[in-house]
Amino acid sequence: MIRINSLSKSYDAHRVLIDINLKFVKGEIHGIIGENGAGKTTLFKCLAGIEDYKGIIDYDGGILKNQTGFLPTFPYFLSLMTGLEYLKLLCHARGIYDGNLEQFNLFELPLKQYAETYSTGMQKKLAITGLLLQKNEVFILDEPFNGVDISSNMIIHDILIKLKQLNKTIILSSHIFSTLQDSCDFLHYLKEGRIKYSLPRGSFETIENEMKKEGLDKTVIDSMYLR
Amino acid sequence: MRAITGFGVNPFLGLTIGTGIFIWMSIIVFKKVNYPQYFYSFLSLVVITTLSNKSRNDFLKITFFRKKYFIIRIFENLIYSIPFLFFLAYKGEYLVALITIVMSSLFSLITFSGKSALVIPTPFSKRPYEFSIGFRRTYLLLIILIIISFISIFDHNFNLGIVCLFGMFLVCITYYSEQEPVFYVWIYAQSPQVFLRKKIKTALYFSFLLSLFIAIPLICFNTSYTYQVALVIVIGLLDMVLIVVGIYSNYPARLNLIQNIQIITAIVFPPLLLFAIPNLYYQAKRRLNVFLI
Repeated sequence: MIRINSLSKSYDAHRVLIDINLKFVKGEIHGIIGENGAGKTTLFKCLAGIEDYKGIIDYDGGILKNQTGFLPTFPYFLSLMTGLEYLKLLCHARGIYDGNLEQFNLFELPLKQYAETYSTGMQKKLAITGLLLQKNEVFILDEPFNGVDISSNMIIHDILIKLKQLNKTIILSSHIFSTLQDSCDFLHYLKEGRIKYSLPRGSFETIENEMKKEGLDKTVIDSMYLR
Repeated sequence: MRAITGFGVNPFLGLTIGTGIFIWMSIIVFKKVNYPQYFYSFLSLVVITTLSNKSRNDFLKITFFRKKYFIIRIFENLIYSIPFLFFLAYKGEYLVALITIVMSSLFSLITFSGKSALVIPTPFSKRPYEFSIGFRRTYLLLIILIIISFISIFDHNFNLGIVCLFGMFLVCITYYSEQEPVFYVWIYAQSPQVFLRKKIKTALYFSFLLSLFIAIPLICFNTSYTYQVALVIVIGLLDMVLIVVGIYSNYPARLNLIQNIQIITAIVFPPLLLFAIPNLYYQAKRRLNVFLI
């Protein structure tokens, strides 16, 4: 289990996360939802240990960072590195040296081509494949459905369900409410750096309605004199 | 200006130093190179090509109308070539300066994608990534160095062979010239010591293997030079250690001025390697502690 207690994060005077308290239990899928700039990515980076923070993140399964697979919103691929080399690098980083990685190519990617020449969706699929090969216990996925085609979205959904069955801890974000609604056991609504709601499946409508209310004021559009 | 500030130097001081270095290098080019004016003009065009990056140009094309886009591109190319033009004019090379202006303007029509779909096979693919990527970038240079080293053997010009051997290590050093993004360090489930040790081991192993392509023929054709060849290999390998620990000594920020000076002086004056390596290793370990446990 991962327990977050009184987590706060600031960039100079700008407070991005304020007194976050959350609990992620094994075998559950947790969704973090919020508008752009709400602090989702920062929260994920703090969880992954990429950013420093104030507060406590407690994990009962050992060193959290070493068992975590982190999918950034826009995975970065080094120039002139093939898909297969990327997968090798990720595996080597976790001490996994054996096996024919090509047999785990579940998205049927052209692994012998340079990853930087892949489309956005293909790059995301490659990054997800890498995380799965690392045999992580915790998965932090920032916008995993973003930029990926429908059939791959369905595969990702199935992967999440499989990981849940394998008792992994899964935390993800998405700006598409329906994808979280279908996948998650819990939804946490992050607004202006604070968790406004943490709700179990069945009560997600509260968050959806709240988010709809936060939509752009139509008078602003009118004032733009669009032609 | 921002880049100079990021380098840890006062921008005006950096600009003054940069101008000084530019003038000094220009003087050297005109002293040492045959037909320096043409080489110098070519050099300015090489510098200008850094503005021809495809994604950068795509952004400009999307943002501005076609005519304005070309005006911007011509202007920025000319701004980049101004220091070269001044020096050419100072040397009285007005015609070459004029050609440089025309070529700079024409270069505004060119964009380089920088992304090639042609996958170059590499012997280092099993241990990504520095050598696999570096080899793909520099394989032609490596082949040229090996060819020149063979020419040096047949010409009985041992010094040239030694230069090629050291050049091989310098090429390998460039494989570590860019820091990887934080994600590529964070993924390692290792302590900073183990991480650095493995990086050093890979750098030593692969650079040593590459150096053998020059070292073995040099020794085979003249065994009396074994000692000198071995010495260059030892220094080259120590330089590899230096660059690996050096690149992480201020991670994830770029190396500061003092660290850069440490690295350059240690490469130029090898006895300093014995002080620079432990010092930079300690700094790298401390910086990596943030991302590795």
